[in-house]
Amino acid sequence: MKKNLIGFVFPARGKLKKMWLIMKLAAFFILALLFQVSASVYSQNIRFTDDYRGKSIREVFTRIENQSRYRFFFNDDFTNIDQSVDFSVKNENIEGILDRMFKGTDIGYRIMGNDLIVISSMKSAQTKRVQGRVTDQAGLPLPGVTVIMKWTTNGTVTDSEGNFVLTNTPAGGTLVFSFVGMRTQEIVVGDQETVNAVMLEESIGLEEVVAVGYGIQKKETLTGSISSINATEIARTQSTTTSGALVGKIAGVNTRMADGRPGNSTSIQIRNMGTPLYVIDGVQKDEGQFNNIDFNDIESISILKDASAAIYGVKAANGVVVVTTKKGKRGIKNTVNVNANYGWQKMFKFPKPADIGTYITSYIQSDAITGNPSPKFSLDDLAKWKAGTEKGYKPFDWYDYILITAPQNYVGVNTSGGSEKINYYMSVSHLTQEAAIRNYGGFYRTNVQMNLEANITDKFKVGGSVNGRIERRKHPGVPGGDDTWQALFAVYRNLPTARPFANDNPKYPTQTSALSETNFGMLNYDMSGRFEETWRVMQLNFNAEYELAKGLKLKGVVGYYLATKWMDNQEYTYKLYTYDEETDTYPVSFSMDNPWRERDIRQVEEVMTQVQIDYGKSFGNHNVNALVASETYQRDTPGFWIHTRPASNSLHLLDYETMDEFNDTGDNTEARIGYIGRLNYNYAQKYLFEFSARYDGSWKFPPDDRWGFFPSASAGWRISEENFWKTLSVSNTLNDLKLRVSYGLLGDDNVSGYNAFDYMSGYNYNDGGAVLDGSYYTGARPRGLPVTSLSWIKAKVLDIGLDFSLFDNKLNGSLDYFNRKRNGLPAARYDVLIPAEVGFSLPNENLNSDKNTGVDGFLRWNDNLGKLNYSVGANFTYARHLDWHQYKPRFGNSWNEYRNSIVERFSYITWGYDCTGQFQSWEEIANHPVDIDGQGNKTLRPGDLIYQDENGDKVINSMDERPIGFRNGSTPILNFGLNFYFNWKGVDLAIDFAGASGYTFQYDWEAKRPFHDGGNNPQYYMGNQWHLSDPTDPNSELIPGKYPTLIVGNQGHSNYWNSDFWSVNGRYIKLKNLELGYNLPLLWANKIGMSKVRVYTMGQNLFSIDNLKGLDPEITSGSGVQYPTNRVISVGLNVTF
Amino acid sequence: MRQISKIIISVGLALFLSTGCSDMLDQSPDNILPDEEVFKDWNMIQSVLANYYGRVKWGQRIDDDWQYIFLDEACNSNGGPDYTQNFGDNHWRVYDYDLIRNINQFLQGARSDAAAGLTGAQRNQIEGEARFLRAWTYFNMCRTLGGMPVVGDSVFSYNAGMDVTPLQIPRSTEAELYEHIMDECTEIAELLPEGHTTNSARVNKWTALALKARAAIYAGSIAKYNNLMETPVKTNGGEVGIPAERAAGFYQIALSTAKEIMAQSGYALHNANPNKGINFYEATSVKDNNEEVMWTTDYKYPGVTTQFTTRNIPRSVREDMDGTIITPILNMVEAFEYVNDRNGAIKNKDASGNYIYYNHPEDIFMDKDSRLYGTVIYSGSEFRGQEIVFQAGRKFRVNGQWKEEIGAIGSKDAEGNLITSEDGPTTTNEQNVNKTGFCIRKFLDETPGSGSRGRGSEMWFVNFRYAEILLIAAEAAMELENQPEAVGYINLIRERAGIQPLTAVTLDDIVRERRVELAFENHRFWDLKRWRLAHRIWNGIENDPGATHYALFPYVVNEPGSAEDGKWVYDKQKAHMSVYPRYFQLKNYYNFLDQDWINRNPELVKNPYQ
Repeated sequence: MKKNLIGFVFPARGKLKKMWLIMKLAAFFILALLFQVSASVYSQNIRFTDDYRGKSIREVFTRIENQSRYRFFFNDDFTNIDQSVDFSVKNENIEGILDRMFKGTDIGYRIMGNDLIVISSMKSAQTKRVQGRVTDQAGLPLPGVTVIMKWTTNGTVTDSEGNFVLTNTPAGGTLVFSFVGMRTQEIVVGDQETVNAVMLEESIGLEEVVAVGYGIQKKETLTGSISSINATEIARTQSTTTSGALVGKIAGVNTRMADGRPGNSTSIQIRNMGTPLYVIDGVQKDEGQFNNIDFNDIESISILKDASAAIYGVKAANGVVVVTTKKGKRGIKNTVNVNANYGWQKMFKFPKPADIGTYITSYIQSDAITGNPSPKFSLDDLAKWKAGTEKGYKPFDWYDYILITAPQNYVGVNTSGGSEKINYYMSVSHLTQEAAIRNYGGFYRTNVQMNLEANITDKFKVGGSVNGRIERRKHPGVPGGDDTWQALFAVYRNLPTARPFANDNPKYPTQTSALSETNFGMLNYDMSGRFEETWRVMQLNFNAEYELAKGLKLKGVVGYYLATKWMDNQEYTYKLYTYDEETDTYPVSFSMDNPWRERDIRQVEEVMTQVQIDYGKSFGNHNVNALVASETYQRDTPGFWIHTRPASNSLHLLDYETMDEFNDTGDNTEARIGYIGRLNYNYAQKYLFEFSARYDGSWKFPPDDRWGFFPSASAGWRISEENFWKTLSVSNTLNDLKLRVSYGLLGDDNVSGYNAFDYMSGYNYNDGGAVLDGSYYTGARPRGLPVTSLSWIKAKVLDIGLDFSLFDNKLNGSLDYFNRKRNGLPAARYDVLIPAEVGFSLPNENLNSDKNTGVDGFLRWNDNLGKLNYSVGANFTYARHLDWHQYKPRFGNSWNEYRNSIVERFSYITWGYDCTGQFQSWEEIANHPVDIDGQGNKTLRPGDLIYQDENGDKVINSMDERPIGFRNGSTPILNFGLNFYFNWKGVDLAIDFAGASGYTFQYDWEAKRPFHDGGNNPQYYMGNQWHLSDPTDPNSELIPGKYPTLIVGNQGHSNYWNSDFWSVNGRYIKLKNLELGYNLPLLWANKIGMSKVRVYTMGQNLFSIDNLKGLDPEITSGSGVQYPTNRVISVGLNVTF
Repeated sequence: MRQISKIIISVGLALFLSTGCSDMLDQSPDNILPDEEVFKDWNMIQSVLANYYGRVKWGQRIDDDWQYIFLDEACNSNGGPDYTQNFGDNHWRVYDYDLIRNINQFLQGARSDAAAGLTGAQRNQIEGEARFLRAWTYFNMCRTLGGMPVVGDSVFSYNAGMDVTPLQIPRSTEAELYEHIMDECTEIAELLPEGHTTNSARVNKWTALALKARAAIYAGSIAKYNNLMETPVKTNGGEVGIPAERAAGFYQIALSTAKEIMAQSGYALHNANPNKGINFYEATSVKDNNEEVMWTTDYKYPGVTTQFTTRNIPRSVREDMDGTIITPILNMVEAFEYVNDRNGAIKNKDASGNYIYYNHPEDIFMDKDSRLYGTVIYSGSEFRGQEIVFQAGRKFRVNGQWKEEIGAIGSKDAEGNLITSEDGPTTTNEQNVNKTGFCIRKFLDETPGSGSRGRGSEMWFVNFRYAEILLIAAEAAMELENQPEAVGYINLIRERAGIQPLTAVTLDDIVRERRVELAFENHRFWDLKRWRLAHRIWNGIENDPGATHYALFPYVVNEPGSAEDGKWVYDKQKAHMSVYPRYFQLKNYYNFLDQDWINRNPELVKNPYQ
């Protein structure tokens, strides 16, 4: 049994029990694997008593192997193997035996941690001692790095300070430094005795392992399309949530941050396929959990983009994001890392409202044009407002009053380390993100993470992890809907002529617009109330792993998740005042008498279990890995909502007497079971195959239609491993080339329009209701026809990819084409003609289909120029959604088909009129042959929009609409990123650009409708209209501008119809992250007891080049009145000791 | 071998661990009741009925006040202008076979053994209520679409591959459907109790008869007036249009049914308050001691309330952010007669076009039909004990020319004199600011707190009240050429309103009386349709006084020293919030049938002009 170890790792050339091992492999590779485990204490304990006289070395080795766990391992050039020895030992340890055996020879040995003894000949005459220190780019010492003399077995591992000493090194030899996750480095040893190495991190290195479903796999044997990103790259951001940390850094992900309010996250989709599944440390989790773990605790994130996701079953059809948190390393001393930063954030772009002069001029002009007999403002008023000195004519800058620069800070402490048998990682951190709105609260989060792994015996491993957080959002409890929006809306709804307080006395807020709640003067904790929402979340995982036999492991995981949301919102009643100068009193002008107190409590409880068996074995060049697993999930989401109307603002407790709503939402238990199987096979790591299948059950569907089977397969061909390839000259440049193909069937139980239990009949309780006999009766409604015809959505995913690396692995890249076709989208068979009068329509069946197709890829160049290490990378994701087969579409006529068909077309296209220009003169309007406004053009003025009469019927109506843009409000079709990294003598600089294109933004509301609902419009708009040279004279000369003239109450005018004048197909590139850091020289750091001291500054969203005037290109709200992304600049300190 | 056995054991173990809980997929829902549970439990039966009661709300109503802007009663006053002009092809269309199926499912259960535990009276009551709600659904369907398929008590089901032709039921004729409704009401009246219910939320015998009377008067007037049109709106099969000779029969049923209610029901015109204006408000909008209202959609806090008061309360007395969203137009106000003058036009200017000056804001409404007070909040009238003053601005003369001074709402001059009232009206595009010079009073709740979003109003919405029965009787008697009887009934209404009695009744009198008596109660649209007047009044002609919306803007004269200083003058002007005149076309007399329904049931025929 024991002997199988060598047989497993290195295909044997003979029977293990009797034969000496003859090996000829690249020694460094073996050591890289084996040196991870520190030296064993075994050697100290086992002692030998034997008589070796007359025996050959080979025979001695055999005897030792039979008496102990030691295995010998040596190169072919160890020719002394059959020499006989001439000594006997008594109670001698292994070192003693070997020292005596090789004394005076050029043979050296090394005892590895797992009792493997490597014997090697040191033929070179001249040898010497070399020492040095290995650090990472940041100058942090790297323990556990394998250092080996090339082509020998002579090697060592760096200690906890990153130091190493290597004796017997031949002059002119080459030292090879390797470490998981780092680029392998070779340094030629000349005369020097000290060789220091700086290891570069390598996210996509071939040696790297990446997390795949239910395990890890070496990048080089991957057959699926999986992008991954490591801890350093993730942490390089000022985002407060994890999704934001991925923006622009990884291929295959489409991102957009439509709303940047504190604590909000970026929406991400894998290849625009929809909300992905998140898996954190092997446990399926939701988006909120992913976004709000502290991403500084993440070791790596893998994005499973194709059939490789299929192994996750029912929820994996939109791709899977696999997160692995940090673990401690074994055998290194404890390190403590403290990272803190403090930053200043400001809204990246928020359009300024029109200033007082522009607004009043524009209003005067509008009144003049409409012939208002009693204009609201005169030229005299305009002059006074512009001067702003006379009482009653002092304008107010709401933009400056409301929007501020706000702090954002983070402090995190973690400690990690490990002994022989145990390793740990613990961290605690706190994040504060204040709103960039004056005194408006923000987002506060505390995270803890603890990961522990321990060996109980050599074969039995247990581990546990705790992930917890408290996440709080708070702001004033503002009357109306969205409290944060309300504050931004106030910038626009309050005219510059309105001041927040009566007589400017801050105790007396006044009416500032027709909508009383827009006065920002009272949108604060004292006057409006308080909203506070807290999530308390805890995930506990326990896992155990038992090695049943060599290569055969049984694993079990139990996960428990408990999250509670506690939301308290109290909106005060309030009064608005006027000022009576004569009496110096403040009469009440409006009393808002709707006290609103609500509490929303939600709980999420999840239990998951997983049992997994892994088997791995090599037979010669045949390498096999197999996995069988099963898992169960149960998720309960009970909750309730209470509303009361407290008698006074000062009462913060809920009272039964004033309670008028209590809404229990039930448990909504979800349950899923999956059985999983996967087989990996490769031949000489050259031809790679993977088959996986998943058999899944979901509680949603009727009992006899619950289970779905989802197989997938993939294959890879490492062309660069072929012998013929190696003979080609191109192989010198193209170091690695792999072709991958995957195809799989993925399931999705998230069927739109189908709810759990839709297969049942009966009555739904709590549906509608009425007051009868003076009492309210909650309603109960008969359920619709039971739905038994609907089951899983099935997605067929094809991916063809190419991985390559060139120029000594300096240039890495990959390119993938993908195509996902989903079948079984719900639709009804309308051609089975059931009269509508029967009172039901045929339930949906799995009939329609759609498609997602596109390309993604990345390219990265890593190199150094002298002491300057640098890398340049680029990635992109182009993913487009198409509606595909529809169940027998029918159209009344060809126009109808043109306009409404979605069969095999790009989906969510924006339709509207094609604006061909603007009328330049009255004459042009009079002569225009097409009726633009439906009123014979009599409402038109110069500057108004001209629409293309597409169908030539001389009138503009809906028949003239044409596709004018992409999807509105979703993630873009194309996302891309550019990443630069430089490191020079402890100074490092990282720059990430992120950009997008292929989405449509439609201006509306404040950004389109003139004087919208009595409010203001943006300055860029109102200040750039066609206007009169004399605003009081409608017949004065017209001065052209970009926009049509704004006229009060005119929003129904043809100018404001849906056209490409008001929609933009967005394009942008943003400087997303810029980080500049400096590592104190180690010597200095050591003096103050630190092993690393780094100061840094970071910037986020510093600028953008885009085609959306005045707006953050990522927002979705047409009004522009939406919290945009933040511009953050921060300074930070990171110390390790 | 040991290895293999270990594998087998562990795989087996793994599978066992999982399958051990594979019944975890059998979860039970939180709120689904099996049929048999429902009929065992009187409370659950009430819940099912409550669901149906809650679903029979169509057309104009206070929980969807936007519906008031389509006719000539009110317009949008919130934000920027509204561009409504035409009536949609499915405007207020009712086609709710889903509800009919649900009611039939309920009837099936109620007649089954599952309901064996109920008493005979209980069975009759729930049977009667369910069938009434079904008849009411058919009635609403009939007045929007004409004759439609009557499915009886059938609860259809479908199995793949079954022959669907038996499910294809042709449309009934319009007359047949009205007859079906009347027949049902006759039977239902025998099932339901006679007693009045709390707040008239539940239907009783008299509600069933009231629906019968209403159906009869509709059928009668369609039979008569449709055939008086140049081109009657009808289909060959009679799905739309009723033969003229049927009119008298229907009028007879309407009259006799109305008389049965008058004689036996115990309902009466509310006449308890000597202040006739307030009395009329009480008759429609006060629940206590109300002997007039016959069927309502009731609301209750906590439970279900409406935001009608929150949304439409005058701005100066509002309790929450909203207010003054839908406001009455001048057209409505002028429809109310003066006590002794049947021309209700507001007298703002004299014959030579000069302003008439009024000392108080309400003086211009003096001697109006008292029902105006009960229906509309006009300037100078009170709401919740507070005088509501509409003041658009101030007027003064410069060289004999009137000029206006208009400020922001609630603005005052340096001396503290009001320029523009908090209650407007204004011509701006601000939200929650009055634009017509009136607010709705009918169904507006006096209860403190009822104007806040968090609470809402308990005000009911009236579906049937006794005054309508009198008006049905008056109309039927008039059509049957029984003038003394007609005059008698209509004068009961006019007397209660405090206006001069009539000596003879014409259709025009009925039209006017119903317009003012039943304003905001979801009658006008259907009335003008059945009399085939809608296309003539809402003719789509710009500035036509019937189709265009008007507003009344009050101003204070600001001419210190002059005799007129401080007096009130009024401008009638087009309501700027309603940009276009109302345009009702012949095709709007009946909604269109969806092509999809016809595809699915080839027996259906289209409506005229479709």
